Amino acid sequence: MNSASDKGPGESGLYNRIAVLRAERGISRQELADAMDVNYQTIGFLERGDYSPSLKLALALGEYFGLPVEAIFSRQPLKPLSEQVYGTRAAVADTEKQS
Amino acid sequence: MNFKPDLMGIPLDRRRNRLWLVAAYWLIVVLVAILLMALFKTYPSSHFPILFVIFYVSLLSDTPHLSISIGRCFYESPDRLDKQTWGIRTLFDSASREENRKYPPLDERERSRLRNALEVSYGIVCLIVLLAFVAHEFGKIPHVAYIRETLFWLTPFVVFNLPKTILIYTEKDVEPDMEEPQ
Repeated sequence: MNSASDKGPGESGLYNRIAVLRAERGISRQELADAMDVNYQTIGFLERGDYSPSLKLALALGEYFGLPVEAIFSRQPLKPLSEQVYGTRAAVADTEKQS
Repeated sequence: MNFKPDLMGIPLDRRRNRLWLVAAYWLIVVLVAILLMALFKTYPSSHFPILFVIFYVSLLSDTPHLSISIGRCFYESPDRLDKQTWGIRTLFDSASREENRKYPPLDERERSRLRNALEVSYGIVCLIVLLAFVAHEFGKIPHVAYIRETLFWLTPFVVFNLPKTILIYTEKDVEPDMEEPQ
């Protein structure tokens, strides 16, 4: 599965993790679209980075996934979620050394 | 299953294919209008009102119908048993009263696309009017009256159908990842 963060920001200039978050939770595009009250195509456009959401929709997505908006959207390429949560081995080793 | 919209066997999932359809459609409309206007100027007989009424009524009834059909073809795919839809909606599809509404209201992306199509259409209509005005004022183009009158009668069709055809053309290609991720 490709997410916008893998392929680039698309036309919107925004990277996002919507596809990853949706896959993690086992939610279909239609279910997410229903929850957001948008057309399911709009979710596809968001995932590919071809559309910049309004602030209202971005906040609604954040509320839905229980995450801050900056965890879902970014102007910089996003790290893989696992890496961001657990860090790389080198970073973990550094942390352990420091502690 | 990846949805492949088509109209009478013409695949419409690519913008390039849709461009041919839209271009052919407008070419036919303009050519018929010019032909009728030329006929009227050449033979200003009683035949013209009949021809004109046929042309005008058929365009009024068929032209929006054709463009709506293309839009609906995009919007509703008989192949999709789960009733998932892909396509183009205009305000007309969503503006009916709640109990009669076929489709949900436009969302923010669709509204922004429609707004963009209306802005582009407005620009094109303004350009046509400007060109007609310049042609009329300076009289550099022979048979200016024909052009001006043709443009005058074409304007309602342009106003009503240009936003729709712009929407049809500007809708992006269907991406392979429109399928649900496994």
